[in-house]
Amino acid sequence: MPNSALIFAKRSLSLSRIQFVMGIVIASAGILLFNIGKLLTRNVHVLVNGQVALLSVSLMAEGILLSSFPVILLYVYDKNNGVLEYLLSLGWNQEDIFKRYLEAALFLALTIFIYELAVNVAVSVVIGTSVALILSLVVSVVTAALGFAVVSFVTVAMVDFSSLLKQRVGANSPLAYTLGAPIIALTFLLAFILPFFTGVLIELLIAGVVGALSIVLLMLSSRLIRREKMLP
Amino acid sequence: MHALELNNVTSGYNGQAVLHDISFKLNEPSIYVVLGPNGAGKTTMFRTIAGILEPFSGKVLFDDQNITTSDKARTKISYLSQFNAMPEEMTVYNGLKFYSDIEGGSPDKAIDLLDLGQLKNKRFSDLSQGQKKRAAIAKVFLRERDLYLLDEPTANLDPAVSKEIREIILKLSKDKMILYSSHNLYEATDIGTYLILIKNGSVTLFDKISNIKPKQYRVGIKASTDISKIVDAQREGDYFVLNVSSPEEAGLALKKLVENGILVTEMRQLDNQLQELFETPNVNVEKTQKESQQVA
Repeated sequence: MPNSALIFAKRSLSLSRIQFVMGIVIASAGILLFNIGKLLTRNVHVLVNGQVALLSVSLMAEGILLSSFPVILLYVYDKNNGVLEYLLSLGWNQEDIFKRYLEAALFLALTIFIYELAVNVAVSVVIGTSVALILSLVVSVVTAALGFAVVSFVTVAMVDFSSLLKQRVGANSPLAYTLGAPIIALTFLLAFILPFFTGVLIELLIAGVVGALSIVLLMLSSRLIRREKMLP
Repeated sequence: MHALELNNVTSGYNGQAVLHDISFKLNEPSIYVVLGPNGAGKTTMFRTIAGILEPFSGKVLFDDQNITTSDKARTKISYLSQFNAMPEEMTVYNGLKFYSDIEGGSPDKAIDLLDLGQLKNKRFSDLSQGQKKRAAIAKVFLRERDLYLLDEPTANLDPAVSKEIREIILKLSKDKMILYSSHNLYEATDIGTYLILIKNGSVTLFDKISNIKPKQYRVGIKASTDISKIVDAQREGDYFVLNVSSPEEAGLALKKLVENGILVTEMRQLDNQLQELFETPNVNVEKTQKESQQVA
């Protein structure tokens, strides 16, 4: 099916835009936090010493996670409405189906990341120092690593373990989402207690562990995703 | 000629068998009505034939190709589930286009067939239940198939639309095989040629509907006067009810009434001939399945 990730991403936004918009808002807050100090002081060391850069990483990663949330809702919705069952009847296997949703989630995450990267780099170029540009790139790498690792983990875990599709009482989100939120919350905490470079290393380590976990779950998905899990 | 064959199929969910050792073969274009009480295994059977569920044991073959392993065999089958399975955020046209991009076929043709022209630019979520069902049925006709699995296609539809759908299906059955599940005994006798009765996950009867004769017929008669002294009938509401063992016996009773100068304004069978099948305990499964293989 041509451009299926794009089609599923568009479908998810037609179904629920609010989380994507919230993702943009939070990502923008991160961008603002990261760049306003740079622009005002023209001194990147202020950012690094004040842990502002690490806080902005957490905000921008949270923005990425939130932006992919409509795809999680779409999966739950398609399961309950029999769309997944119908796709199975058309000859798709469970992995074909699951990968479409994972690609769509990563596609939405990518759009937010490109926005964050573009603004951060543009501001660094305006400031005109190589240190500012390097800092922007470091922050972007950590943001991307964390954001994409968490989005992949949440999406893969949700499909592998159908119990994560259930919604908590009073909540509008499936349990899977609550797997991602504490990881990002941990990085907020680290921003206040760790110096910048140690924080960057620890957050890259967290992203690596979460990413590795996603890959393991992805490899196990052929065993874990039974067709029954996709039926309404 | 196409053929669907189930060979000792046991299937279900999460290791729990719902269908037990089912075997039958269909090789004639026709409507095969699948009847059974709730939880009997009708939907599980449809899902297994559609290749959605893999059988725990046994094989489902379509044109001698295993449904579980052959993508080619799967493309010959269309499955309409009880769920609408349409992307609700899309318009009817775009929803059908979404599926036609995957499986091929023409949304316009399906829209024409189901007379959805006026609804095609409406969001699926804005349609009434009946309109949703019609749009959901349209996706089954995007592309021509050889076997149609229709799980309660007329549920939630008003009588006029149900009739329309049944007419489309009847037309289709001239050269296609159709498995049609229903709870409605009258609909089953109206549309079906064959009956597949499922109880507790087993096929307990497979026969031509015309061969199924009840042990007793309840005949309702509306007449110009009290007929209970002429024939052995009891008054029940608007009707005098006569219990007979054959249609011929009912004919003789009518003749007797006419000979006695009674004006009979209406005479009809009150119960459906399939009613008894629901009330009778399971017949010998092994025997019936052997017979069923011969029937189709």
